[in-house]
Amino acid sequence: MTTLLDVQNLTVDFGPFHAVEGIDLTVAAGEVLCVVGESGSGKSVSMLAVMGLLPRTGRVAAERVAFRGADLLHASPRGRRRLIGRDMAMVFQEPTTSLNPCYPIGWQIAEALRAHAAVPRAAIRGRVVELLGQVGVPAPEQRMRAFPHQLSGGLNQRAMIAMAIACDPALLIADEPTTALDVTVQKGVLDLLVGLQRDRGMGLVLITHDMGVVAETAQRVQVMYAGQVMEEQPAEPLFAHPRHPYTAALLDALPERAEGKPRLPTIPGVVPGAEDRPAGCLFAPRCRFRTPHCDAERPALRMAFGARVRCHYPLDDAGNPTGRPA
Amino acid sequence: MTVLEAIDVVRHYPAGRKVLRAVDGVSFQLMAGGTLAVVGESGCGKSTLARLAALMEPSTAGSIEVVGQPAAGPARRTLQLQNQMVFQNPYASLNPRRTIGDALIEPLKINRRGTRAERAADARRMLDLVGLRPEAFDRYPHQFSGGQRQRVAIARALMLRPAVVTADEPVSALDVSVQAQVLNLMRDLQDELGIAYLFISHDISVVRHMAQDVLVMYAGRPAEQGSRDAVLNRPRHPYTQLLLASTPFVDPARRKAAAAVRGEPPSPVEPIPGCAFASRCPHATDRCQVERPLLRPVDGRMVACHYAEQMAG
Repeated sequence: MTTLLDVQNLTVDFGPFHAVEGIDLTVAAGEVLCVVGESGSGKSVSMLAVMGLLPRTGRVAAERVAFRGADLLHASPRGRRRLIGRDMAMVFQEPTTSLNPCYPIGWQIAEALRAHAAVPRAAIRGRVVELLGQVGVPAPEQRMRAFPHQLSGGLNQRAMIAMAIACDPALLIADEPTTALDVTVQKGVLDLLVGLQRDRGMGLVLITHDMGVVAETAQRVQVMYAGQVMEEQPAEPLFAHPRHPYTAALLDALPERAEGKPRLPTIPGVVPGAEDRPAGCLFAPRCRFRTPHCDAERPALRMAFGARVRCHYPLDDAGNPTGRPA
Repeated sequence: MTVLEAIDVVRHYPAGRKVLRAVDGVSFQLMAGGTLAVVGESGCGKSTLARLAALMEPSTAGSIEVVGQPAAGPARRTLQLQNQMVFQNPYASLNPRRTIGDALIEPLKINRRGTRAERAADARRMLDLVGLRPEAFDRYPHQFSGGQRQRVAIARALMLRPAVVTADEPVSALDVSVQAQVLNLMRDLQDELGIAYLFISHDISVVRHMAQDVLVMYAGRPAEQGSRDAVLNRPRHPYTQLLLASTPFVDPARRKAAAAVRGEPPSPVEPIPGCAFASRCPHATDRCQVERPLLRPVDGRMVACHYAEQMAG
């Protein structure tokens, strides 16, 4: 497997606020990586930083941000634009705000093809129809002339995906692509993304807060909290044996896992903000296994039980912390 | 005791020369201290139904009874107080320029309950009940997280001691860990105060956790309704089955290998002679296109499908 995206030690600051703190991330061709986390965990910001889409107020630093070995961090805007939309593309959460209301969707999909001169001019129209068909838009010849407000959220999101895959990208980053959609439509869109990834050997990064979506699509999962990766594992063992107390608590809080219990297990407290960021482990103030050591020293991301975990006392198969002083 | 009853409620809106049938004949009963969940996709009429039930807008036909009295004529105004609403977005439902205390006191003020001091004391008690610190009283909404704001919204809904709280997607805007806190709070308040919830949600897992009874809506009409176990564990309507199959579950054992459905709900302004779901239903026959299925009892629940008997599993 060839590595498409290679990010080492990525940090994004907004003024004094550390939105992303030392993220490592690699995606290979044909791989589905899910980045999961609650709001404010930095999952979207890190991907926007990779794409160079952050406003100037966001200060981005990294050891390496490379796409197929080519440096993205120091690329000129022009050089970056040549890659983005062609070799790597992104789908955003809210299709109706990402699409331009003044142009038909067909025109907007064609724009990606024109910008990258991906197909000869005469073939653009046919390619747009083909793309809309591929993403499951019925009657593409008519729908390509429709404006975003004339289409449902599901169809608009399909148009966004058609735009993203127009130039056959090697890597697709989808930021909460189904959060605004109904479950019946969500299923169709997820099947479509995974199908494209499988058929074209595309790398897919799926950013989501929905553990159900992660469980059904991911091969590998990164769990983020307060700007850091807390845990990284293949999907199946992650759900069977979460190694980080945060992941475990998050899974326990799902209503699906608490069937028959009158109360759901909760995580006390809130995600730390700019002022109350702990010196030690970022999750320590909310962790049930917290020790003085957790408050004093921030744990590094390390290997335990076949997973990468940022915890001094990773959980064993029974969910008990290992090496924690009694 | 029934605290909220809808009898064949209809809500139509004019849409140019046509009629938009947002809610087209829904009936339900909600018992004191119970929870009825209304589930369905966007545009199915569940929020309109919530607004009708909370007497926030008039129904076109049918009637709504609150605590046993028909909500019509002069009684409507007083019955409104018995059914209070919690909205989806706690960032939009609280006035940013008024303190939390003001927000809680306002319903009492409008309805001339108690003296100034009594109102403030009541608001402080309510803050405590929903698990907020006393300092919250003088603070503004922007100083609170989404979950805390939703606690405030719930507290505000409870200030008039309603028999029913209608909650329209109360946890959809919240993160999982916060969602769990708010759901626990809602259950605790129910146990403590005996309130009934009309719980509008699109999230099957949340509904399964919260509700005893479930009403599945499609295109403004009930597709299936009955006890949670009957409807969610042994669904008889192909639409309920589809909804369950489309829901992503963490537990692999719950997942059903189902093909995603094609198509979308029908336009609410075009009259449909037959079953509204027929255009997307894998089991549809010619009969479904022409004859509208009536809601009828099958296997311990009400279901609107001609072939409900064959739809087991």
